[in-house]
Amino acid sequence: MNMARFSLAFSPDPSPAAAIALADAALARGAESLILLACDGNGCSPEQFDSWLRGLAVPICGGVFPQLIHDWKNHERGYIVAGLPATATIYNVPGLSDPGADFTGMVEDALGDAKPPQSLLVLVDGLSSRIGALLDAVYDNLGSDPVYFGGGAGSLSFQSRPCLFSNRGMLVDHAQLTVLPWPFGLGVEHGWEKFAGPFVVTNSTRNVIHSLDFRPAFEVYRGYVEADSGRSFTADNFFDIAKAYPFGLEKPDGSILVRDPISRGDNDLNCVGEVPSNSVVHLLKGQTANLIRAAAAGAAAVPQGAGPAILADCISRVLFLEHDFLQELDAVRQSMGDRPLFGMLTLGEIANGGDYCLEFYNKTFVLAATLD
Amino acid sequence: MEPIHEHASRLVNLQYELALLVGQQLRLIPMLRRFFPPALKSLGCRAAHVWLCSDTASPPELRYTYPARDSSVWRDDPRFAGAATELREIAARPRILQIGASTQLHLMPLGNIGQCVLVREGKPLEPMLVEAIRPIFDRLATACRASLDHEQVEHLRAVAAEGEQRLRTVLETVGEVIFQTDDGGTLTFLNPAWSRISGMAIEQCLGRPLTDLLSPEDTAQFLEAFHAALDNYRGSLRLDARLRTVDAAPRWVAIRLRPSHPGSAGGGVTGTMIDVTDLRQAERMKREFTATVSHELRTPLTSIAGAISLLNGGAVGPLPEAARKLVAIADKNAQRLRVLIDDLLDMERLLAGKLPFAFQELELRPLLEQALSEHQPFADTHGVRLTLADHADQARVHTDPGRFQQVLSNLLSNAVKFSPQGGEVVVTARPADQTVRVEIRDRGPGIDPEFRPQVFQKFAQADASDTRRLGGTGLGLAITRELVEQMHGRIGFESTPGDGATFWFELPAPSSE
Repeated sequence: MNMARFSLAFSPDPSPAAAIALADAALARGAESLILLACDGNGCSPEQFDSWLRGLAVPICGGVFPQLIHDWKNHERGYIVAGLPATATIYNVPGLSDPGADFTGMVEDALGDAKPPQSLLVLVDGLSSRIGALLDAVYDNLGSDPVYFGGGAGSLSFQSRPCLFSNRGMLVDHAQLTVLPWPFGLGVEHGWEKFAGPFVVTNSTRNVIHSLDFRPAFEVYRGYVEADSGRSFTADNFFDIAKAYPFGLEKPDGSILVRDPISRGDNDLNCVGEVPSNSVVHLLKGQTANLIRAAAAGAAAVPQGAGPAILADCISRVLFLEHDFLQELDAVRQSMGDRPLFGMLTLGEIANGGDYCLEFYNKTFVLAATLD
Repeated sequence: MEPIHEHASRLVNLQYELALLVGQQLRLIPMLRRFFPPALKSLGCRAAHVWLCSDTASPPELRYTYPARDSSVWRDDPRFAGAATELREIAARPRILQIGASTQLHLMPLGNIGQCVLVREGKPLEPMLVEAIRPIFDRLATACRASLDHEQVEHLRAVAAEGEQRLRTVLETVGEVIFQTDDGGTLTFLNPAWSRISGMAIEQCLGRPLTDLLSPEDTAQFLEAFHAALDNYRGSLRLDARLRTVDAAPRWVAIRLRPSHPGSAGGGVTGTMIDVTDLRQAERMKREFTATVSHELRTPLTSIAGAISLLNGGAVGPLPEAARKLVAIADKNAQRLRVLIDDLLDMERLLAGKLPFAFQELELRPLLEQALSEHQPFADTHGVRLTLADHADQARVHTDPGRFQQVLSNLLSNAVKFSPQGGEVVVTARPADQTVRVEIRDRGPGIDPEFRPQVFQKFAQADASDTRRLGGTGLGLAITRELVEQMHGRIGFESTPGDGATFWFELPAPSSE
């Protein structure tokens, strides 16, 4: 497969017509499959896109994300269309929050005994509650041979609505598995550090933490975060403060899996991704320099080359770094070299390069670069 | 108090997390599926393979892999295939095998039932971590054993449930009534055929003595058989009895009884009932028809036979030679017809229970000698010698002497007819357990195995040409069996084709009291 034919185009225009024009141009250049990425700020809706999506003659995947990355900048409005020079195989898995869904059976039915692909782009509705279960089923079926990468689509309003593009229209509470016939190299880092804990998650339901150390979760969280930040939680500023204080599940080798609390109930904390009962967590906090250094280290981990690279970076890093996020991208360019970069700022990130089980990350930098 | 070292604290946290992942499901694969994905993520491993012994005598086999896609490596990857030999034996301590440049296989013992292989890329797990997770894998071994035991129990339950379902289907569809009673004769089980025959709901009958549901005339007979069954009678007991029904028209049922738990005392009785009302009526009509026809035939036949006998005896003067031959043929066939009608009438009387028996206690030897003496002339016409061998001198028998002679006569004449010229028929008698056994052995052609089931049936002849060639009505052995059974005995035979046959019957010996 000739990666040079991988076409890439961006339009800052938020109107659906701009997306359709980008897609038409890619098809005119011979694209046999499309990846459509949209900013949440575009206000995309099924009414605008479904009939066009259903009429497309080529496979399409993609989603609506809080922001996009193109030309070394983040964008709050606009579209990216990538035209692929091959007919991609795309599986849409429904019921991503359904507690009774048998993802193992569904993935087995979808992927069957097919030879594992070289790479798998995994997009999910980032507000679904059983993303981890789906990823376990995908990994169970395909094993550690493919390179997996992707992330969670959706809106920073944390309102559940259709956020994945497919040939069946826009989808909500789905996962989308796109087989890519090219090898990719991965870089995965986050840069967040422990500052309080450990705490035992004494009660949780999938992505909702009910209690820590047998006490109401929000009560414990508030005590530490308000003391450290000097700010007080009110009825409507939770994420504004919490974006700087994620949870971390520590592994024996000292590495940390981040879980981002994005909203709260009376005493519960709602995270992006599952936090198992009986797991041990720490409170994390970030330093700008550490986060940027981690992104640079992630970029340095991918093989050098001139082919395009796809970035799935957590939106909360943008919210935390604010204007310094451009420094993160600049550090990435310096580490990786000047090659085409596009991607999305996500609600949770997905990555696996064959060394570990497939994981759903938060607040993490995931870079997938094509191998020349 | 000194704070716990951070690394040790991290390992304790890990133990806590992993320990609470163990044993969350009863069944093996779901239990392992709940444990391994999060455990592997916590341990930084990419795969796990669980090898378990299915029983104590077998080496471990691969039972679970996460991810499942990796299960083929033991077959397809020669490096793994080599490592598999390490898994054939139960190890006491964790071991590490490195395959390729950077793949580490941690072999973690699972008690005495198998091993778990943790696959990790890059550096192996540090020794402290391996020590920290050993107790987790001990717990996992216990959970695996419990799951295997549970699955075995589930399997046995499923087999039992399948068998029970099959049995229930049979019980519900079979046309026979199947019933069980306790030791007191109270009904404890009835299948649906009961309602079809009796018209009574099963619920109304369970808990009642079965005798309540039979006609009073048959109660004593039933109780005799019931107690015989309870006393562990070997085999099944049979009787016909009348069953009360809701419409008050009793139904005849053929009842078979046997102990519910043969070989042990008590436990009640299991039995079957078949509705034979229509069958009995048909049998009765057939017997009446046979008797009527036989009587109607016998009267004119007597006149015909008498007339022929007079002609044959010269009552009307010498007959021309041709007429004499014709009269002889008519006389012979009139006699055959008379024998046939007599047999039919005997049979009818036997089946109707109208043939009287005058039981006596007699010495066996004179009965046998009389029978042989009376049949020797007949045997001489066939060139056959009759021999009484090994008779029991002091043996006595409880029988009707006339019927005894009828039985022996039938068996002897059969043996003579089927013996070769110059052959010998040997009669042996010997006492057995509370009975006397008489055997009649010939050296004839024996009985074809295919014909054996029909030997004692009415009008049975192994070869239809036998009737004409050897004479006989085909009723002799059927009558013989009825006679023996009505004298409370048994009859049977053994035969090797080409090597003759031995017919035997047993009759009760007089009681010693």
